[in-house]
Amino acid sequence: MNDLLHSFPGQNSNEPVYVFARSFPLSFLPNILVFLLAMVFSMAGEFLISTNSISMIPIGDFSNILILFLGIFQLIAMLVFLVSFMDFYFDVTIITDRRLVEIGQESLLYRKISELSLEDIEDVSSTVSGLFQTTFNYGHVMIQTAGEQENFSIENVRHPREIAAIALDLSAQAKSNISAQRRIPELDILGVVNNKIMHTTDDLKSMGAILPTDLRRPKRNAAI
Amino acid sequence: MGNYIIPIYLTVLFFLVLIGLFIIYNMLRFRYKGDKTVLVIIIMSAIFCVNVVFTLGILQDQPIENPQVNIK
Repeated sequence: MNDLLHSFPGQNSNEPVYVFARSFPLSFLPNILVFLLAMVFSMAGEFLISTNSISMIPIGDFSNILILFLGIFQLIAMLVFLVSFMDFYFDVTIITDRRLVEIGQESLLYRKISELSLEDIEDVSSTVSGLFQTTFNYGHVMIQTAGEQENFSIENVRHPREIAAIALDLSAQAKSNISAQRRIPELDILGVVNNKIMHTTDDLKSMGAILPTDLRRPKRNAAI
Repeated sequence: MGNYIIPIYLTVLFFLVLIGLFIIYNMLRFRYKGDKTVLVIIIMSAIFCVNVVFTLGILQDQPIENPQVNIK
């Protein structure tokens, strides 16, 4: 099990996490509906065949084989659902004080971890489109990188505008040669962790995203 | 044929349970503190068990083709 201060390989022990974003659960709803439909229809089919309710399929060898196939179909549907859940839930984007990390679970046995230094961020844009995304405030964040590096696309995350602003602010600090140990978003929002907005360093500490002994504060709060 | 239905189902079940355990092992390995992975595993395991009991119950109640097998 990982906590946020050990959330990816190579993370320094004092490297705070300002953004820890997963896909919003609502974007997984179509998969859940397809799975439930498959289960309900196949179980209803088993029940109807076993009670001899379908006149075209009399009880006998054929009906037994049909029930067997429906039973196996349900087991496989459950495994496929679990794998698709893994693919959805273990896609994580992390922004720390020195890098952006994208962990992508492409399939059961294919896990991709991409890293980008904050200095290499060129342009950040967020997109919220459609009824659901506008209502529930989730969408995509596109991060364009310098040179020939691959662009980063963070999909279906909550608070995309805030995530884009944090990435841009930290990138600007990195380009201004502010040392990594002093970088903290100079915004009203300090982070987005597990789809929740963090307003203060205490919020970040309560989520385990920053060390309790970390003394950095945004300048706007310096007097507090 | 009816005699072999339940053993076939149980054999397939055995292999799919192995694959399922491998998936669950990976999910537990990649989970983060405080996330909902364990809850999802518990819900899916419960659905799995109910489904297996339901299917086995139906398969057990099915008449077998050869009547001699049922003669006591």
